[in-house]
Amino acid sequence: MYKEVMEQAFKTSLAYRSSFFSWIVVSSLKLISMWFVWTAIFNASNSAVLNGFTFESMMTYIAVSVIINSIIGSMLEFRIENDVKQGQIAIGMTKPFSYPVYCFFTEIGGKILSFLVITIPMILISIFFIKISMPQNILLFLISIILGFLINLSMVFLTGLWAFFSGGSIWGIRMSRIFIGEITSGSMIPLYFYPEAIKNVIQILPFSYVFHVPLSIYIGRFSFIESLNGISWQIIWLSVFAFILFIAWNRCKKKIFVYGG
Amino acid sequence: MLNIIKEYYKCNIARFAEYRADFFIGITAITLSNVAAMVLFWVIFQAIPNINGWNFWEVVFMLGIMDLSIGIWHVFLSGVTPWKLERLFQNGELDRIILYPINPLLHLFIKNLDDDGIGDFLSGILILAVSSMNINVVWSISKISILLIMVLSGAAIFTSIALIMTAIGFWTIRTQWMSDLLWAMTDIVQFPLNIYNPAIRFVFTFMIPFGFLSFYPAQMFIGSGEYLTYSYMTPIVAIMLMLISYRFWKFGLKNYTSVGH
Repeated sequence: MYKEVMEQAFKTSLAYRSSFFSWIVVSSLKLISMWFVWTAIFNASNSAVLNGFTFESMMTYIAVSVIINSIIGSMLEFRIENDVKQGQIAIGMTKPFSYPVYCFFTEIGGKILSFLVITIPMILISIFFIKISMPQNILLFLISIILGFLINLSMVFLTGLWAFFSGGSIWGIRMSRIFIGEITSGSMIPLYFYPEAIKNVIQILPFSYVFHVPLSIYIGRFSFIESLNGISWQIIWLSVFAFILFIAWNRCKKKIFVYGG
Repeated sequence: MLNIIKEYYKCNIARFAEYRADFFIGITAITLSNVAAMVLFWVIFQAIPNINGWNFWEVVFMLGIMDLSIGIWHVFLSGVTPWKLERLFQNGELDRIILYPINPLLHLFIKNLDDDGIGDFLSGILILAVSSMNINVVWSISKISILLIMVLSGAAIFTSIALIMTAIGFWTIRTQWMSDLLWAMTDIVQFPLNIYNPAIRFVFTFMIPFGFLSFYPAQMFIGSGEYLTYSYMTPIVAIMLMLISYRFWKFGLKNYTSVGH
């Protein structure tokens, strides 16, 4: 049954071919501009190593960050918002599986397609043009990236559920989340560039477990023990979010029944 | 005509008052987006004293000018954008707009004020105020007038490019991808234009002149005067682009109506 849901999502996503193309164009543009930005930054520095990064390892970091971005990128919150406003969510409750599970599998179905048409081309572009180095520990990296994906997906889902409580638009909440994420996740600039005190504060937030941890494992900044430590924290965050989601969803359900939907 | 504008603006303000929570969340989100850019610059400049001759406050100063221009666009002129055109097609609103005895473009502008842009505007003023204190830009009456001309020109340039990209949508129908492209380009010109290679500089000076949003106008106040010729060109570029984009918009609209809508 879940297979059908995923298949359906896969086919729906096919309708948005132009957005795949644009994602690749925009990501490539970002890689090009970052190449010049970091060239200028390394030229401005007296040493060839900045906070433990050479220019090459920095470009690997940026390229892998762009790839992770293509994996976690999601529009799910808008679909939930739409379902809430159009009342589709009540119809979703008559289905044989719960709405969050349904959302999860549609998301996975769409991801399989976007992995084929966005992520794989981005990996190839990164290998051929940026000449990125390979991950230090591919198994730990894959585990970490999947956990990061799930943590991000929980945050996306919670953002979508905001539509229940606000009644208005989720746009502002989504944007706030994205921009706080930009500063604190290490997706734009490695957290190693931050002063130690700020870095410690940032790691209290969940965002660094989406980018900073998998990226640090990829470029070998984490030792084996540190990697396991990072992954454990990812699991803890994921459990926390699963718990919050469970509570939030139950409250939403109550709200639907109260209004008689 | 002025009466119509006044009435529409009244309706817009009533709309903002209706969704007060959205109003504050929206402004917070936009302010966060601009502060995020500033924080990322700050982190970069922890590692190096300057980038191609520009120090932190000078780069932030350029950002502030761009935020002001985009703020004006966002509040008053963001009614016609690639991401809004797709909706205008779908719900048939465009067909209605064409029938009114008022210029469709003007109509769309005055109908769709966006209060979120106040966030751009406020953070722009804040960023300019703080940065100019740190680089000894003293605001005299003449300098404020120059700033005003530059910011208005920047708003006109951004609006014109957005308008051209929107009008392309009359042929492609799907326009979402052009909005991604638009924002990706503004990200690129957040950095001083002279860190890029000649080809990119050429594109952002003569083809998609977003250099006139931040880098060139800022040269009126900072820098050695190397790019002053370009700075003086800013209002001329704005006027030229307005004429070109308006013609292109009309051409696109004519194409839209002639296919039988």
